[in-house]
Amino acid sequence: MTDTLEKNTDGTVDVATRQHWISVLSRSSSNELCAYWEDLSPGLTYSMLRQPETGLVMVRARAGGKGQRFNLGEASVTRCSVSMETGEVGHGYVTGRNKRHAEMAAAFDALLQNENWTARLLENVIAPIDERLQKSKNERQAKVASTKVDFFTMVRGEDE
Amino acid sequence: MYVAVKGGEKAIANAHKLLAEDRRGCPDVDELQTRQISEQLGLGVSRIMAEGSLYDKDLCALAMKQARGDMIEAIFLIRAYRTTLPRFSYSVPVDTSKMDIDRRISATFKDLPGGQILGPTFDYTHRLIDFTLEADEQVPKANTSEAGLDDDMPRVLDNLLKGEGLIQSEAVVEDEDSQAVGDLTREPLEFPANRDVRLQNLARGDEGFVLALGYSTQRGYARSHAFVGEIRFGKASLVIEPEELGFAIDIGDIELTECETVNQFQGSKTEPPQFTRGYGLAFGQNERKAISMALVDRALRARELGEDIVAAVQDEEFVLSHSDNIQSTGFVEHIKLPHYVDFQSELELVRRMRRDLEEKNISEKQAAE
Amino acid sequence: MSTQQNQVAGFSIPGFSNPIFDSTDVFRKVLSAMSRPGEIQTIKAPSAHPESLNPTSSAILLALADMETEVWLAPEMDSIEARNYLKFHTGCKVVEDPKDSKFAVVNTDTGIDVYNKLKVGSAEYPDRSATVIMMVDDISNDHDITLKGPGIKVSNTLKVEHVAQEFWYWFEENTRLFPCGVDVIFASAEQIAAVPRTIKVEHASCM
Repeated sequence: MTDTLEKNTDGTVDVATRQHWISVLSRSSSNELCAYWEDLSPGLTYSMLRQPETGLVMVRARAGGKGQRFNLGEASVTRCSVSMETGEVGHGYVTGRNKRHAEMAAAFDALLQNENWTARLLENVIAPIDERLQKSKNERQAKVASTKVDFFTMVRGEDE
Repeated sequence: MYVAVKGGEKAIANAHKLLAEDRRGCPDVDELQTRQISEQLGLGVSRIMAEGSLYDKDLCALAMKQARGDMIEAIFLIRAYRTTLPRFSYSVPVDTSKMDIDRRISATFKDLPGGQILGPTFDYTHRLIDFTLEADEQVPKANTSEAGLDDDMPRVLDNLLKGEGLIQSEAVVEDEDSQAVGDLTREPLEFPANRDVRLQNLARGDEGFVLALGYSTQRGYARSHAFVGEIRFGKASLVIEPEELGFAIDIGDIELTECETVNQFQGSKTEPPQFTRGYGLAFGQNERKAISMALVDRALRARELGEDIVAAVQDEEFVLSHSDNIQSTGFVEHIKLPHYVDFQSELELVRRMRRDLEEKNISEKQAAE
Repeated sequence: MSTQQNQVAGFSIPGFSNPIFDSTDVFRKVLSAMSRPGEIQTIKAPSAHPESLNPTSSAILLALADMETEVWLAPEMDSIEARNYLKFHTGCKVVEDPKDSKFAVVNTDTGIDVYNKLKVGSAEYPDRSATVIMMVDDISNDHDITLKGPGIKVSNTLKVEHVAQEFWYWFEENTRLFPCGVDVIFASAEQIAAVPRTIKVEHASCM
């Protein structure tokens, strides 16, 4: 991940890279992120721009998967926005109602945008969480795959 | 005469205390943890999420516990809770073709790309009570397959029938972003209802009601001979585009069950004979609901397809006005609450009618004599 | 595209420090102001606000606007910073025409043509009308105008600095539309007072 870190000409991080880490932070757990945060050098502080708040996202879908849009129902989502002393603004959005998780996701998003931290955090925080998520996804997939049907045709004895 | 009565506060407070004690049940038995409910009664939680119209497993598990397993009461709690929360945004429409598949089957095509994946299903079980579950039995471990799943699991109807033009296509209007998407949580139901509103209504509609209506189409009321084109259950990404970011972010997975039916269509003055579609989608693992919803969605497309409306299931006023179990239960159950005054006036009325009749009979009798 | 391009003015101004209690408090103050027309309420302002909006009008919008609320900002109140601030904290839509708004943020210089464009609701839905938030220099209970009507025992006096005579003429016309009509909240740096559509206004100089 760190080897291929894309940078824009102005030195800021590429959108796809940030989208990736935001998604990993959202799918991680609150405890996991708190533990990583405590491992960082102490004294890292941020201020709240938008206090952690639980609300709703209306989940949209499409008729027939591809057609007209409709509102399926809502999902609970918690969000938070913080600002580092160095000026980076981070946003955290997580499904569910865990405020600590949203706050930590926002804090990591802010810190990841600081170029002194980006590579380090991608390697030491984002990559291991991503690996864990991938592993559990693969384990599930292997179990599901065992339920795939192998069809075989029975020979009918009508011709003799 | 109208007599206002007041009272019962003490009885009500005590009834709630008794309820709380009964909910807990015998204290010798371990208290049920919400985690146990969400992990071990997952399909019940799915139903509460679908009909409560709120994706939140932990909260729906808690609602089930508080409601003592009464699903409609739990759904009521969830509907009430959601009204206390602000709405942040609308998601980008979920892409069900990119789901992480847990189950995916087609009843119409045997050899579909990606294969038939049975997943965790009750199908093909013998429906025999498993008494080993009464004890702490050893759970058999799921097998794994090295081969894994195909990366590409195309949605069946998108690929297999469309090439020949044999199936109705799902139209997306060009200036989609300028069109509002109907929302029953914001605007009251109005008729005629568009498909967006119908699908939202059915997605949160009562499973039993939608099931019964779906069954009615199979028994011949507005028969449209349906096949299951595909059912899939799995996890789809929830994607939003926060204004402050200016780009889309994937914030987690939600479990969805999707069903698409293929229905025969004789053709009309404007349309050649072809297959038509019904669509069902629900939060969580909710296969019965998704299939039923697809059947009812197809039946409600009668107007658009120029079919005669001959059955209840095609009548959108009937279907959409009665599908919501919170509305239904509110109105049905409210008649148990005190109606003393209403009933007094009814009583008066019946007494007077009887008196009138009696007097009439007497006077007729006297006239006859 | 840079990830920081959106970190422009407005997206980095903090909102309420305690969104639930702070917005409940502001809601209560607005409700009191509306139900007791002319009574002055003091609002605890958020710690920061956009330059073009004053603290109380910012607080009212943070408390009352959400993603289904259309807000119009008069040119003097409008800025990228204000728009982003409102979008970030409330998700509201900032509209370009006062006729599309549920809240119109104006000041004492705003012309009557703006007020005439505002939604007044319909006989079936008189609630589908706009509310004016007028940023003003000072509000007091000095005797400039006399208010009478529901929520006032006998009469209340109110003085709002620099409000044009034409505004009160317009407001009088507005009250004749009842049950339709527009409600007005005056918002100084720390205080608010309201005159809903139900109120009869007598101007001191007219008497």
